[in-house]
Amino acid sequence: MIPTLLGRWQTRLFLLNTVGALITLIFGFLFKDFWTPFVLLEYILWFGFIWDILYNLLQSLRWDRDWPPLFFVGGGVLEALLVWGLVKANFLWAILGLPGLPGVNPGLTFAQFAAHYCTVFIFTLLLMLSLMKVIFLKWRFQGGELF
Amino acid sequence: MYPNIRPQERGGVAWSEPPLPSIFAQQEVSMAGLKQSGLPLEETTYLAIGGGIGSFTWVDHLLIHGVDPSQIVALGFEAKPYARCRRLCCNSQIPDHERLRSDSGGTPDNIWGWPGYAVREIWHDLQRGHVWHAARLLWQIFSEPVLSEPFTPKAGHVFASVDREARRIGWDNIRRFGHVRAIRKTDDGRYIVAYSPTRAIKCKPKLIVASYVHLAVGYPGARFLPDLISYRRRTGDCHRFVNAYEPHDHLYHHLRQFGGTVLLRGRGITASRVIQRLNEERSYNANITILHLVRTPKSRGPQYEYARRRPKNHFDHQTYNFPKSCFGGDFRFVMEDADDRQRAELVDLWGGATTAKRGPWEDIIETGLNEGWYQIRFGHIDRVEPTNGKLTTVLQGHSAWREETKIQTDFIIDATGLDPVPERNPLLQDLLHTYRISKNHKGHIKVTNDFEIIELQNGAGRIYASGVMTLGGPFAPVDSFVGLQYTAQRSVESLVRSGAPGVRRLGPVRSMRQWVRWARGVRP
Repeated sequence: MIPTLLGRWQTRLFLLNTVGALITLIFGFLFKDFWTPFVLLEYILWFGFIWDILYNLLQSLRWDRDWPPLFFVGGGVLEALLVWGLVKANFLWAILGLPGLPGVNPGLTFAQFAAHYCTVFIFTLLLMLSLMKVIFLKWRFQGGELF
Repeated sequence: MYPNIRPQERGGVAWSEPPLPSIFAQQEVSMAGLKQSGLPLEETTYLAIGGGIGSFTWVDHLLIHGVDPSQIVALGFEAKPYARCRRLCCNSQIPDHERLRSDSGGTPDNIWGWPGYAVREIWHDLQRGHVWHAARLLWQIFSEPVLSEPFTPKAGHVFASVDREARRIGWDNIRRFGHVRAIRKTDDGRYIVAYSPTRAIKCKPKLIVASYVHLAVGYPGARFLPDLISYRRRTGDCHRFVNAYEPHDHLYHHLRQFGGTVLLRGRGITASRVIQRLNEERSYNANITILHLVRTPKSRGPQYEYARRRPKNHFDHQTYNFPKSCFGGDFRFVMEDADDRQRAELVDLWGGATTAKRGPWEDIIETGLNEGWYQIRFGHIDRVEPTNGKLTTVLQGHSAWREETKIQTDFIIDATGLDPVPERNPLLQDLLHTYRISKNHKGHIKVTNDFEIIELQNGAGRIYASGVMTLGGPFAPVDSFVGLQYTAQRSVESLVRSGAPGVRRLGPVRSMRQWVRWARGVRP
């Protein structure tokens, strides 16, 4: 699938709110905290909409105007670093008079964040490269657009 | 029309065609009159004309969308849907073990495009214990095209997969031998098709009536430029000056034994293949040299918005015949939204004579240039004369001083491609003449975004087209496996919307169920 901007947004929205939510629910049980993983998922989703604009601009610099799997992974790493950086940006939250990133438990460890993020990312990426084409027959010809 | 080319290369049959029934002189045929005439008549709902991979893909889509196989007939020359494609591949130096220039997800045996050929090859490797090769392929599909060369399937794997799908859908019961002579509208909103049912000379044409017709007749033949035709007419020699899509293995055998010089024309993927083959022959006989003739130098590639294609050694490189985005990204939408003139411009800009960027090919060119056995010349062939068992070619340069160069070579291989002109296909020529169907700015058959030929609409009846005959239409890479899948999908969706009998929408649940049936090898 060669994504368009609309396709990126729609596929991200669909995958994170279905498979992503299901995996997050499991991590909620494991962490005995449903609020933090779901809030993190929403941060990934909403920041992702902005990241997608940047990815789309970079994509337009390529002759094939494609987005190879390696770039998906690179983007995934950047998105994780941004959210984890915000979780740990205590100086910023102190200036704003907040205890931490809103909605996120200040006791969240990197291992917990990484386990949750990586599981969601790997499952959604694999689904995007495989079963999405089977479930939605037209998806691959529409740049990832579902609606 | 195609001098000294074996009948197989024109589609498989040498004809001495008996006349068609007189009703085919009219634009619209009366069904009542036809039934009274006593001519044997057969009826079907869906008719695929061509019998190649384009027809096969359309039939596969119809069956998976719920159509009963007894309602479908496919007419063509060859028993195997890929027979002509394979023959042209072999002639142009892509035997079964070599890799095509096709995306892993271009799967004519699987309408979903997943699993692609890369995943299947990894799976087969693992089953046979070739773990290292499987790991390499996995890395390749993960890192392509940034750190690795793009994966492309082996020709033999593609053909074997089509065989498997053909068995699954019962292709042998749907396909029959038929050389389609003419198509006419009927007065009850259908189409009557006349076809010759056997290879026998003087065989009376048979008639079949269908409500929905799909045309996928492929290229009319190899492209024979005037200099080649003129040479053959004058000399009768079709061994020294050949088209790369003709069988020409004799030339490589001769070179292996005696060495010699080859003038190669064209700079597309076929030229790259021919150079690869000549380089292989050089390992048996180092006395083989290549003179590569291209019309103009290529130091700067085309630009679209912010991106530019970068040529090397006067070859224009891109992964497939069009940028990848044309197959389903932004460019597909750009193409669909463009008008006829813009589409033609985009096809010229994005397409053209390009070859794949492959390390071994670049190494061959670099080595050849350094060692002197591969050289590039710019210009075009003015004339070719036989001289003492060799060919003397007069090259006309394109420089301001109009330089003429005489060179002597043992062979000339023309790798400028296949002939896409619709008028060279008698069936399309008849349709163009009878119904005045429109052509697009590229000179091919004009189709709607659903690949319907609008002038042939007849009440509820519809005629769709796919493949190179629609080049310059709403989808750029029509002449690709993905293109055939896309056009089949669009036309079948159009049938669903128009309420055609038996075709049902393939929603997520039905799509998954049908895919599971495909994976199990069970009939749709």
